[in-house]
Amino acid sequence: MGGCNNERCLLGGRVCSAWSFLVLLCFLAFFDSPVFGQKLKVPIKITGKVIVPDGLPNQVYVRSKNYGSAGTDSIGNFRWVVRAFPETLRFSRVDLYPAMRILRKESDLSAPIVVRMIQQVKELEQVEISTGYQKVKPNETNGTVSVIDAKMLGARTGTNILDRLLGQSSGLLLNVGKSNSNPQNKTGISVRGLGTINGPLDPLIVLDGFIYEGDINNINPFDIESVSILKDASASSIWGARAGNGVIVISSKKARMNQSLSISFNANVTVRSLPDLDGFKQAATADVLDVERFLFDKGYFDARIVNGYSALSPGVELFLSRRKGQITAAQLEEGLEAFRSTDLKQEWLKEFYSHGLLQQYSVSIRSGTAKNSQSVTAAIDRGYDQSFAGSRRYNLRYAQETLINPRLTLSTSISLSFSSGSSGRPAYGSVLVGSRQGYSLLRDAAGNPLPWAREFRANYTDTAGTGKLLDWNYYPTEEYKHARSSFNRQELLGFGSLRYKLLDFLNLEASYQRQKQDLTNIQVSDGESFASRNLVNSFSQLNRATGVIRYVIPNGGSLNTDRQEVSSSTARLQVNLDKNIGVSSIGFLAGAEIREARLEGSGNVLYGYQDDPLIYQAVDFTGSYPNFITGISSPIPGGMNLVSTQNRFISFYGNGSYSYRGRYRLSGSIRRDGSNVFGANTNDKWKPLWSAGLGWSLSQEPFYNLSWLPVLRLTLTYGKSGNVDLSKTAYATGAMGSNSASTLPFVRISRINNPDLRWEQLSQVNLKVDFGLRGDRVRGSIAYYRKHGSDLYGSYLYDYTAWGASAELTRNVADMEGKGLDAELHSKNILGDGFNWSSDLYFSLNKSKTVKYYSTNNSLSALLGGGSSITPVVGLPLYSISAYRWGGLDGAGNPMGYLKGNLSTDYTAIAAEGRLNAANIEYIGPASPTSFGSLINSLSFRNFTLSFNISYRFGYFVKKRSFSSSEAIGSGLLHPDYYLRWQRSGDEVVTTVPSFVYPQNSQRDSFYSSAEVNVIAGDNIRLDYVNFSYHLNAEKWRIPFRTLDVFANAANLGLLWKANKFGLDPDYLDQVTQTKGYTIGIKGSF
Amino acid sequence: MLLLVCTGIVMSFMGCEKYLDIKSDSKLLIPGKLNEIQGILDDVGQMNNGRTPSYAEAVGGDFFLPTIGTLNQSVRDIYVWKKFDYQFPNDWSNGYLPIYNANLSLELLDKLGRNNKNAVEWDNVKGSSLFFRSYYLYLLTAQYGLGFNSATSGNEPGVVIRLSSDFNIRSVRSTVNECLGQAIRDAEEASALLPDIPVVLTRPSKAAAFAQLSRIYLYMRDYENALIYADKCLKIKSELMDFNTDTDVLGLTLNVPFKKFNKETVFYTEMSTGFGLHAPSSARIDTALYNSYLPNDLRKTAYFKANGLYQQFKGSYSSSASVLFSGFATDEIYLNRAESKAWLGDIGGAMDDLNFLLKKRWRVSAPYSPLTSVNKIDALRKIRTERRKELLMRGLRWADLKRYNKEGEEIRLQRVINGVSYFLEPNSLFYAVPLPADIIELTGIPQN
Repeated sequence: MGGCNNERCLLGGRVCSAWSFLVLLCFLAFFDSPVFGQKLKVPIKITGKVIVPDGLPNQVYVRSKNYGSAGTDSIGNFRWVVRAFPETLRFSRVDLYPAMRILRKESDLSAPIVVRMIQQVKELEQVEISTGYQKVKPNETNGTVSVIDAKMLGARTGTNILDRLLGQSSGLLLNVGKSNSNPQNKTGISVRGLGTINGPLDPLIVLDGFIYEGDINNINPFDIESVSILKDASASSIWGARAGNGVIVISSKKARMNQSLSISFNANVTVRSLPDLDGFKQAATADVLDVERFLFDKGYFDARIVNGYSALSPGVELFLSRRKGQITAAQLEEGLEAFRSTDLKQEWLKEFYSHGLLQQYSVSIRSGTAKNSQSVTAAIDRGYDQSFAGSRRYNLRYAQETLINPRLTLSTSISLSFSSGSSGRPAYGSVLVGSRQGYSLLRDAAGNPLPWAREFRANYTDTAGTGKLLDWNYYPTEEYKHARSSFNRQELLGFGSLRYKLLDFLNLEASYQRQKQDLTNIQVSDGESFASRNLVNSFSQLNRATGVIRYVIPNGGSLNTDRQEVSSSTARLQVNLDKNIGVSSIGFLAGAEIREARLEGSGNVLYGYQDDPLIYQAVDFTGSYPNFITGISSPIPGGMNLVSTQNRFISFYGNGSYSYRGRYRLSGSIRRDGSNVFGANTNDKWKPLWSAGLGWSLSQEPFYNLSWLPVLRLTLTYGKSGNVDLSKTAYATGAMGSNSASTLPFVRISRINNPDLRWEQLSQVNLKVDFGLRGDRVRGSIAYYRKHGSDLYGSYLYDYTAWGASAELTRNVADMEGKGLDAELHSKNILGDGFNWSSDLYFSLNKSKTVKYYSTNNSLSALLGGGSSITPVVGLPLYSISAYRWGGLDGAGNPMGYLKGNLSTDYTAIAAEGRLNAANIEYIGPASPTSFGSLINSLSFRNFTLSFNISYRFGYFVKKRSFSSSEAIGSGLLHPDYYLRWQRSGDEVVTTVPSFVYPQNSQRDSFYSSAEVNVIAGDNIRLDYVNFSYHLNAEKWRIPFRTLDVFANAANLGLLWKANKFGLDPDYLDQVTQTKGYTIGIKGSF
Repeated sequence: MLLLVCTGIVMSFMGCEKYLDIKSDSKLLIPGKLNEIQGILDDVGQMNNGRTPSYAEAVGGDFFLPTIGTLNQSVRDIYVWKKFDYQFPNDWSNGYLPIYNANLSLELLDKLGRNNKNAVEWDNVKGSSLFFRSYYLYLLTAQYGLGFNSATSGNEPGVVIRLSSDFNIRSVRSTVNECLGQAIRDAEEASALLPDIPVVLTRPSKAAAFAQLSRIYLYMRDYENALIYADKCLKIKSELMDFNTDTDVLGLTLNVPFKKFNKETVFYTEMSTGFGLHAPSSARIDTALYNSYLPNDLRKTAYFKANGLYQQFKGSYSSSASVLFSGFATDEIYLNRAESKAWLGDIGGAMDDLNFLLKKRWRVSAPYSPLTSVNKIDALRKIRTERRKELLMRGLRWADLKRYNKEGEEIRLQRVINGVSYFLEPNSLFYAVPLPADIIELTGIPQN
């Protein structure tokens, strides 16, 4: 070992010490043995009384560890014979919190024993919190965790498990309309707001105890027993460095031992309403044509016209024909009228949209004997969405647990998921003609498909190739039949675990999980597609002298395949200890985990492709060929690509709790993560994390006598975690590549040498109160938390003279603070004979702000973008919105801002002042909801149940779009605010929409779009879903089922209230809004 | 038993630091080996293509925009030499990226050390780094600094000289003298280390280093040195394409008349697209300039094609009608030499160089009558006219305009929008074009 350098030895030592600790623990377990008591020569008979809460039966079970058991009588009295000291008596019943009395000496027996028992909140008792590493009862943890059970998961329909969590818990927010370049923000969900600025934003997803690396859409929601959302640091810190954004633990349904065979099933069908295409903001074609005529007269299109080949919109073609005298004024009008009189939205709905249809079927079989339990679940989802994009998913899962001998349990499971999908028809507004919004007709009077001149003018493409080229027209009604994209995704997930019970209170568990997902994305364009014809034509080399045409890209289709294989394996060794010593109980787990996640990808493109008979042809990817029209040389697009990444982690963790008399609970956890951070110093590869918590069950105290509030518990937790972005390093790092021009391999520096990078530091403190009213009529919890992040990564506008490849660098530049409140309230409003009404209220407040930021772009002008991305500005929320002060329109219809305090239309100077000192910019407010939640009401009458969820999002602002002259000129996008624009003197009094100006002045438009008048309050209340179900009484109907329910569900029912006066849905601005979904289904078991 | 298992596991985890040593992305590397440092300099996408400054070409006056009246306000401002705010990405960032790569390479090279085994590669890497640093420093100075004047350039601001990859070092503007001095020192040092001819023309060479020195000295109106280095360059590489017959000429009427890496190319770079004004597809060649090509001048066919009423440039050595070649080619060096000779009084030698070049551009079927001159003024005028006609759209005109105006040529540029004329006076301070607004805000260095 002579060659071992210090750093390595140190690290090795650290690793070893953690392991030694584990080993030591194993030994301790062996040597620990029960304490033998002192046996009495003459047993002593005693009596006692158990007092239970009012209205409950008095019978309680009494038992001792070694000397049998007894029960209380109908008024709560019991008798016992003490045969040894110490004697521990335990009192229990399912609906009560267990109690315990320890008798150590004779004097303890002098007075009758009186035990006061407290009612357990019934639902809480059923709930089991899974942290992924252990399962605990809510009262056994200090952490703040929301559990969403199968019933609540069933309240929403759909194929994605995460979608079903929304509105069913507090603190969970779906971030709508937020763009973030961060690749680790796939779910769009945040738990308790933000904890980082530039780091990963997704909560960690855990499935059955292991980090889930697959696609969340692989999971069959019908096979999920419960989802636990770990919110505070104490709950999540066991998951280490990636838990900073909260952890969502998903647990699959399992069979139990000693369970008779049960088969349950679910079948439902969903249809959706047709989309409302008015969500796509475009004025009537008649007005678009008027604008085009104006631009045409001004010579705007002359540059395009002069080259002869660039596509022109159909209106411009007509104006041009008229200018050349090829058509009469009357023919022009007739041509224009054809476009004006067509309701394009209606045409589009007819041709390209449907109601969509989703069918979901699921069956599961469960059974258990004394030594074995098993379950099989199978599910099929299939359907298509409103634009006919198809989807399919098959799930199959088998799980079993076997008691090999009384000490050794083997659990295994295997699940398979197969998904596929294919593209649908073109979305409204997605087809451009000559880079302008298209408005041509789709079909002629006889129903034949009409061509659209997407890239090139028809009269050019018809003649240029002297008949040698392929048809260069684009047919919107045909293209989707010939150019399709699709995907196939398969996942295999295997799990095995051996649990060995060393002692009653100590077990050792070794588990392993392997996951592998293959994803293939395919884009096929057959020879008839515009995509293929365009490419073949563009690369065709026509010898005009001989008329011989050479196809550089062979005449035919193309096949673009992209494969990705994601795999992960995790091995874990864990010791669990659970022991009661006298009035104390100790829970402890410690473990080590080793994990690897790999991604291998490859892609290629084949040309001349045809599927039947199967063929493709080789092409030259290295040479450059002149474009048929422009003459610009370029290589054939495509070629090959390869990706290979592997992330490795080693973790050591421990979690312990000590509880005294069930009243006080002290808990703590520690974890140390190591990962293969590329380019980092060894010390930076390892990061310790810890948390601590204190719980106090006030209602268990002897002095506690609020009988109306039988459950009252306080917990306080604190935890520290970290975050390292795996892509940030201290050395200049690069990637290899090759260049076809130089033919030399090269190295491109992708990260500048940045030796000052440190881990992000995050801490969270959490204070929670749980309470339950008598009779369980009302129960709930309120949690208050504060988060503090320091040394956060932030993009830092630096002097790019130093590098030039990027305007921003990542540095530890920011501190942020978040605070909020999560509250849940569950009440049984009416518990009547046959009629019940219960409510669940989820209420969340979240505020986050940047408290420190070392950057020169630290100004309000950075927030003009509309709050769609995280932008740190000291003292303001991470998502916030600012706007130019609005000075109204001037007498010529120009929007006015402020310059040095005075009204101005010098937009360049206004923008410069905004960047310099932001004196002309107002801070408006947060751009993400600061208060949100939902109210679920369930009404049941006999066998009917009606429940509905009303959700709200308050306290935020969004930027609406409006009319922009530049857009109207440049892309033919004519926002309907065009009708409200300033047109003549005096209009400035009644409108805020500026006049249409030409030539374009983009600075004027960008001033207006970022002005105060275009920011609206986002507050809204919406009706999320209504659920109606009928429970069939199996005995009455004499059907061979144990349970049978039929249900109907309507989802996304729209806004009930909104703060803005413009009729806009602030969460779905400028897009075709969410469509309503209607589901009917049946579920049951036999 | 359990003890054994535990011990075994502990042993197996002893190697866990090794387990974490694996690369997280197989494509990643921390460059340190010589071939990897060479790889940084071989990154054509960052070192050569879309790199050289374009603002100067956009305002240089060889073209006009017939559709300017319909374009956006900011484009119209640039077009008529009005100051306007622009930000990343731009010529500044484009130019300083290869300078960073060069500095990083030099630092990595220092750690590596030179020995007998690696001497050839080591020298090439070092020479290349120095050359690239010199190349972009000069181009930025020629764009952002006022023209060279030995009396004032010691006080007038040039650009930022960066000699380290450490981004914490504050940027300050050095004088034009200091910038050009650094560029000369780097190029001289590079010329001693580089091979005569490179493996590929995107790599620097001795010929390129001499061409660079000739170009800088010409800009400084140090015609003696400009001549010396032009001579040295042409000693290594002197070939010209004969537009009539050369195999590197694909066809004069074609959209792409010349091969890439043709025999005239000494060092290959491409101009950045910048503000887009000078893009061949939108820029139309100044009518008078186009008309100055005689009918039998093959450049008239090779360089231009009609687009609407006017002519569009297609004579780039980049094998693309849309990408402008901006590196060194022998035609430029011949013209450097001719001009230097003329300035120094060798009228005969000067006209010989000029005629040698022009004859290669002349239709072989038509008789070529050599240009002659009797005096220095006339010779310089002829050479400079031909220089403009030969080297247009290569990003050279702006530096030439500054030089000529420093010599009192009083060239006044004019542009017209909607009938209104705008002028750029010969001594305008705008000849040092404005720096990016964000750089001024971030560093506090003075704006032009």
